[in-house]
Amino acid sequence: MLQIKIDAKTMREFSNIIITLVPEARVDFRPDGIYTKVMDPAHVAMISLEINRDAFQEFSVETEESLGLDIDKIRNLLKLSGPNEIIDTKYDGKKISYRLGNLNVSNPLIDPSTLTTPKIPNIDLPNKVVTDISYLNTGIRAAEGIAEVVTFNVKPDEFKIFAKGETDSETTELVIPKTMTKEFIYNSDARSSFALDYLSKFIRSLESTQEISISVGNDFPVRIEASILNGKGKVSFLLAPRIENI
Amino acid sequence: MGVDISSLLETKDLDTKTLNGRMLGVDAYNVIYQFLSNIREYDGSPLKDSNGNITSHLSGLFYRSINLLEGGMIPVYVFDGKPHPLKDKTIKERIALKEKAEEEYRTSLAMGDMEKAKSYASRTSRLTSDMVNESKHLLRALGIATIDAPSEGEAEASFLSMRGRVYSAVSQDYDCLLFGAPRLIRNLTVSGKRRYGRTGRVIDVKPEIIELNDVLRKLEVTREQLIDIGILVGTDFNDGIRGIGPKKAIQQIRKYGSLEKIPGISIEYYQEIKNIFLNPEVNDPGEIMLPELDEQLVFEILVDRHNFSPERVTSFLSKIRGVKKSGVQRSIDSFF
Repeated sequence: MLQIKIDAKTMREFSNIIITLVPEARVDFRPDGIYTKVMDPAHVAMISLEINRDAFQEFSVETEESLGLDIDKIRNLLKLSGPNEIIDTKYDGKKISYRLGNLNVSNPLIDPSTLTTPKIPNIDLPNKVVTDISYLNTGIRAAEGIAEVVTFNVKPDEFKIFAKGETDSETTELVIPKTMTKEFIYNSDARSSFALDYLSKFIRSLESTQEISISVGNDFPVRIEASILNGKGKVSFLLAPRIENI
Repeated sequence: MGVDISSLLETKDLDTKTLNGRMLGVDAYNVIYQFLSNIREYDGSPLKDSNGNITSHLSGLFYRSINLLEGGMIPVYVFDGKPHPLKDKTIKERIALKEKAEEEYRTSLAMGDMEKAKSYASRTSRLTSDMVNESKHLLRALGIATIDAPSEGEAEASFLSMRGRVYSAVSQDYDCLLFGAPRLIRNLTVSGKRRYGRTGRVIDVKPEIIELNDVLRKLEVTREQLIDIGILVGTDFNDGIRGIGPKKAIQQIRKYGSLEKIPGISIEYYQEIKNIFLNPEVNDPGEIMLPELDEQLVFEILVDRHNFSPERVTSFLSKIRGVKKSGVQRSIDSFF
């Protein structure tokens, strides 16, 4: 048995993050919170998401349960709710049901054994930049206007987000100097390029994040970590690079 | 042909997504011979241009390489250099087999037995130095790197893989494992449904990978012992011992520890052959740089010289342009 109460805004952020990669997810409900790891079908990106029990209005999980959730169906339910409405969620061992005001919705569960939990590779990245998410957002949105790929470049005293359009004269460049970061760990020059589609969907899903940590290597995956829901949750996003100049 | 130790090896199906963004050291002669053998007309004759020049190899290299690039892989073709003198006998035997197959092909054709004709024709492939040079020109024009091995292409591809210059060697021959390739990928350029033998049995050929460490661990032998097993069975540099197949070879090596200690067994040039595998003649090219795509030259080689369809070449060139522009997406799996 499992019963939790969660406000629609929190559930929306949870589902928006996961849906950036997959429409269905295996979610582990544990006595201290909920946990999930997902990877997109092309194996380009993965997300690890944790939400502490403190983020819920009520959290009663007696024994650990792994449930296969249809995230699309949750999002359909959320379209019917205001941001502060409470969603009462119950699992009776067979199905999961949601109560929103006087609306009751129940959904079949997906067999969790059909939803693989990806292993997260242990990747050591030499550089880390902690900065305001709005900078990253601006750099990515600017790049989206002209390209499908964005490049992260780390130098001893700056982090640069740039993109190149169809011609050499069409470029966007956002420079975040070391002085404008909260933390700046530099070990070696690095440059990696990434598909904007994945990056922008993920960054936009982080509604409650202020500060973001970006770890970058050379032609290596980027790891983006963020605190969500006022510190009551955290998310880690790993995105494989695109290799240029082939 | 190479060493036949396939019955000892466990292969794993390969999801090519795990190769996204990875350079692969392709044994060029091995792959080109496959194209020459497989890409043929109904009567078994190879594809030719209006001047009678064979073009099966160019067709295979062009279309298949672009497919690999589109699939996120970066092939690097490694060409054979001067063969080791100990390979002379194998080369002479191969020429004799081809001459015999050519005779059988002509007879089958005269008798109207097209199935037989096609089967014999596939064994008649010859690769001239002009064909090799044009293959290299085409690949470079496509922006694909080529490497000239000082001697054996498999040895160089294996060395590049050991050095981490490429992720894996790609060849149908198991010799790469004897040369020390940590990984060997097979069936990458020939995957799909294929007809085999006279019965025309259809087999679904899938890319597969063999990891040297897995092989050594499962067989409980060292690489040197694996080389000894290969030498007992027969390699391109020596005839095997009559009556000793892979299973008996491994029993003997496990029992005696090395080939030299097996009573009554003697292989001419044993140490030299072993040394070819352990210390092959190879070059380290450093970081492999990819040439620029030269669409005009590709068009000149394929369309102007060899009558390829300009529309198909243009269409495939646009694919390669797209890949070159946007790069190759790596998968997370490739970082484990």
